[in-house]
Amino acid sequence: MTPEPYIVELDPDTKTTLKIYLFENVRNAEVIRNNIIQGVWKCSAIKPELIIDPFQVAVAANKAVLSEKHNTMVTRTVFSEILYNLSITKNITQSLTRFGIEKDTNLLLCFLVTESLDTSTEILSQIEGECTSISDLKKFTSMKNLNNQYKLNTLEKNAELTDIIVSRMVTKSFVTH
Amino acid sequence: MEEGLKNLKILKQGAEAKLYICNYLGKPTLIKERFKKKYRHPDLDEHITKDRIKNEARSIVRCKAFGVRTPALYLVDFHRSRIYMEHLEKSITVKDFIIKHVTDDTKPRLNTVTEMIGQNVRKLHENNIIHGDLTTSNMLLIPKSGNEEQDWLSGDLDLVMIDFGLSYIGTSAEDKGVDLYVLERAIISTHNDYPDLFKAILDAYKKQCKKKIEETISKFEEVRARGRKRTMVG
Repeated sequence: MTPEPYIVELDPDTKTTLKIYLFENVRNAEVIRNNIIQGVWKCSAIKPELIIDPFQVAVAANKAVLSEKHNTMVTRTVFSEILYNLSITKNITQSLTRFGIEKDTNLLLCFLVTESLDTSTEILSQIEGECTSISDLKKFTSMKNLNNQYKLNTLEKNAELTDIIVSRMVTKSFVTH
Repeated sequence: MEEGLKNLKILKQGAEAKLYICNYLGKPTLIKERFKKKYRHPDLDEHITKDRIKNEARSIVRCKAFGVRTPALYLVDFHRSRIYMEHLEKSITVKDFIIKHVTDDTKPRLNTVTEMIGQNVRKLHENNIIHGDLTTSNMLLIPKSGNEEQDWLSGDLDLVMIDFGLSYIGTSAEDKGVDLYVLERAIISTHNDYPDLFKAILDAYKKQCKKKIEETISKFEEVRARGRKRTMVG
């Protein structure tokens, strides 16, 4: 049985729900990556080492679906837009390569589900790896890479990291972090 | 566009914005929506509103980098002129804390709070963030994370600064002096039964850091003597 994904309703105006699954020991990452890049699979695959809390992905996905609705996306698809929104740089290539997967063996798979469209079942069956509980995400987070990516090194020890990360993500279009 | 408003509970309406509470992305959220000013030209209005939203969000994230707690930002939405941010359900304004909870017996507790206020305002100024509207209503007390009790008179607290709608980046002693003066005036009118309150905050402000502070303090004294506006005479 597949463990329960992280499910959250995005902005009510978009009528979209985000579903996130965590996979480990994935053997066909390149196939997954190619299918996503070519637009065959409607989902995004994220490196779990840069995610501290699934809420971080929710904030990025929420912004992505709103940009799609308002035709203000910076990248080509709403799924690459999620990767772009996760990053605090405005460099698209950098954002996509850092947050997207390559030959990774662990990954987060995100689906945008609407009343008329849910591609998850079909895609999930083609992932060669083990789906694990989203609560295991902490095991995969690399604090070193996270600190680097979000420039957290200068912060006080007891800082609320998720708060700071999402606040930086949503302001990157007009604040240089 | 108005569709989403159905599930929103209005919390407060000010001159610049409306505040709504809702559940957003699974979290208790506060929406600050700036409304259109009909007396302004629509293009100018849009421009001003967008600038103010950016300004407010910028100050909130800058504070975090310097260890001043502020609400987390969940979405900055220029289409709807809204900032979506963390709603701190377990919180009390410093104003209500003083009015409702401080008595003669609990005065020492007030000292820890004035200490925190002084330190935080100093941190803002040290990093050239001028709040612009320092009042005891724009400061919240929350239980420190891990401390689930909502007993304001015991347990560790954190101070959260809110409402950066009038904030700006300012480096001059004049800006910081005026910011302190605004706080003093606010405290005199809200908490006139605690005549030493501002002095306690100012003392904490002064000792927070060794860096030189004389200039700001002397500007503050100057502003206090003349009022917030500079005289344009001569």
